[in-house]
Amino acid sequence: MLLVVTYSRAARTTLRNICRAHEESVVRRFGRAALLAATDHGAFLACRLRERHPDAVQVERTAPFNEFTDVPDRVREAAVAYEREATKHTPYARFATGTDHPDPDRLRDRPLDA
Amino acid sequence: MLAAVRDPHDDRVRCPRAAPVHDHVGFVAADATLNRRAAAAAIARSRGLRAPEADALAAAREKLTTIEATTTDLRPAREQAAATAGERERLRERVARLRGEVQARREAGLDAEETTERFRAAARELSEAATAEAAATEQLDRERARVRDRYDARERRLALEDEIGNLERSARASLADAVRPRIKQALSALGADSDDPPTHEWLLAAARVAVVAAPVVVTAGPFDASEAAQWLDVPVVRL
Repeated sequence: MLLVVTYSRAARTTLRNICRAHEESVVRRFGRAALLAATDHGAFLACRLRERHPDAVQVERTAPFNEFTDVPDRVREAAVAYEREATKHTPYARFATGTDHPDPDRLRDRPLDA
Repeated sequence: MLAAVRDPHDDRVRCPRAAPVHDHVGFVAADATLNRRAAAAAIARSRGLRAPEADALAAAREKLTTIEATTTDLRPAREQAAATAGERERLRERVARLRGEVQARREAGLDAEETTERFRAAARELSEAATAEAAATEQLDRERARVRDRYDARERRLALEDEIGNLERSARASLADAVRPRIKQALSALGADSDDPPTHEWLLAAARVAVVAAPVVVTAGPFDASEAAQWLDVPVVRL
């Protein structure tokens, strides 16, 4: 899908109008951003917005996220373990110390494979 | 007529320059376009009233000028990345085709020298194109990273613009509230319904409360020219 984020009042208004007029190509709206359908028409709308407000429209292409294929096992397992086992106020760094879970710096530095 | 009154360069009507409030109350007609709250705020300003939000507004406007919004338009970089990728793909196909040709000629026992030379030239071009594509892609990635910070500035600007918009709205409301009793009073003096009067009566009352210098154009209401001028305390063009 196409994530469109606007950065000016004018661009936000254009996005609002476009979303109102083309509900069929809008998957979801969030204030000054919207997810457009991954169709030619969604792309057409994104291109129109970019053309009208070249400096105030950010467009990102998004993909569904499958944590079982897109994420290294140890990262997913660390997240699950932290959510299940850590007490409420334990920071992840402390939780990971002395375990096999990756430390937070490593998590931050390692790019996710495309 | 109205345009001539409002345009300082129009010599058909020589009169004091029309102030902003004239846009709201300078034309008294039954079908005048009217936003009563905006008009009331302009009337308050014409009387020298200052909104309680004025200082906050000035500060926010000043702050807005300090946030620089550098360009975030990466179109040239995106186009360059796409063009170099396209060129590399075109050359990749050409190299594959020539490789096949060389092989076919050799297998057929034909002279392959000239084809081989073309194949080598294409392979060199492909290697250059691949370098160009990698450079363009890297450039685009770098610019994308740089633009993220610039979007932060734009985000701050947008928040400030919204804040200014809210302050302006609330300033208009405070100013309008401040003169509304006087307008009601004037409406009563006119003998009009002070809660929901017709447009031209509201305008007659409002223009009386406003401090106007340029002539008011009147096309509706109970007054002739001199009565209207007396009521409004301003020169009147009665049509």
